[in-house]
Amino acid sequence: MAPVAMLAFTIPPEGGLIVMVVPSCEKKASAAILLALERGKGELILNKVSRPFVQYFVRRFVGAMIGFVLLLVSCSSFQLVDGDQVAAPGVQVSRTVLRSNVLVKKGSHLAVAYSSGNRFYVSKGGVLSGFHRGARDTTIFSETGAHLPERKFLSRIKVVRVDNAERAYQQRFRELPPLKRLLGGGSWSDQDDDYEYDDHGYGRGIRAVSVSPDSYRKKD
Amino acid sequence: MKKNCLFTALALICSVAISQAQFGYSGGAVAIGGGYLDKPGTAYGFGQIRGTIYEDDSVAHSVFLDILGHRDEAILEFVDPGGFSFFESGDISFANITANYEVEAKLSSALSFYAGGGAGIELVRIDDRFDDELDSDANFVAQIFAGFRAHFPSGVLVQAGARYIFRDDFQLLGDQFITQDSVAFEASMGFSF
Repeated sequence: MAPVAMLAFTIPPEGGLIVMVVPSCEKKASAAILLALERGKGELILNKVSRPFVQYFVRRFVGAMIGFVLLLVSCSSFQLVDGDQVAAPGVQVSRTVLRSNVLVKKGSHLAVAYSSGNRFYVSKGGVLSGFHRGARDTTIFSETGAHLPERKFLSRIKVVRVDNAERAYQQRFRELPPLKRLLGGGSWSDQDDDYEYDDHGYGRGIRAVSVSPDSYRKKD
Repeated sequence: MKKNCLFTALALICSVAISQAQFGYSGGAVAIGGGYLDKPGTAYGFGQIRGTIYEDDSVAHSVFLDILGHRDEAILEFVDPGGFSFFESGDISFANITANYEVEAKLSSALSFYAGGGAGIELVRIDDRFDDELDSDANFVAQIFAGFRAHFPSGVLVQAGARYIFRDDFQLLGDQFITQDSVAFEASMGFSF
């Protein structure tokens, strides 16, 4: 029979709280709360939970916490979120890449499981692979000679050929000006206030602009 | 050649329909639906506003306005004043607006077979990522279609069928792009009034 301790709380008429430890007694009930409140003589008696029962719950709680922490660690590892990164030489694995700019230089191999909102810059001799978990809003700026994922994984990825991936990566923060402004002539500078846009001079034929639809091919 | 065949089919449908039509009945329906366009392999949505000009126990003649739309992604290339090439994502939207004639043969009180054709224009528009329209085009489009339609007592109609669409090539930003004749499979539902 497990020992049971009794805690007694007494509320005197003048206020405050008196706590007393009642000698242990044998009770089969694991827990019992007896509340006897009378004006001027309030008394609350709490039956303490038996030790094996507490240990059982403590063990389960600790186990659950360890599992939760391990889950958090496993989910947060190998992730790149809102970052800029230059992949180091060698093979790197990243389960998830979100809203990031990543430069894969020559001799580097980056394997990505899932990609969303990213721009990958792949130099000649760099390897970008994976995407078997999917991709969305992802653009790969690649030099000729760069190793890209299998074609079946590129269906939802835009691939743009660039002459120099490193230069494109260095200019990644350069905001693209609205095309209508470019077409309207004038000059573009980093400070928008410096731009003078002549609305009357708008003409589409001024700049060489081309379009490459995903599903239609150009007529020769 | 395909264009001539399509025009011949449309003329045949219209002549048969007009010869059998007895104008004077009025009624209508609205329907919305979606389907799959095998070329270029994309989904589309459409809406119809229908008017029945004749109906008896075995056949009905209807005219309707059909608006069918689909989108395609694109990569835009342009050059800034400094000579640096930029690439942007863009969207090309296609909207086919056609006037159609349809003959509906009633197989039973609830089920019917329909066939018909129509012609109109396809509006093509390209937007950049700022949703600014960069260019647009308008081309001829024609279609023939057939399918089955179920009428429910509450006025609800459900239909499934296929259509063969002829589209002219379109031109954007000085380049011409090839469109191919396409077969589309679709389903829709609507309400009769």
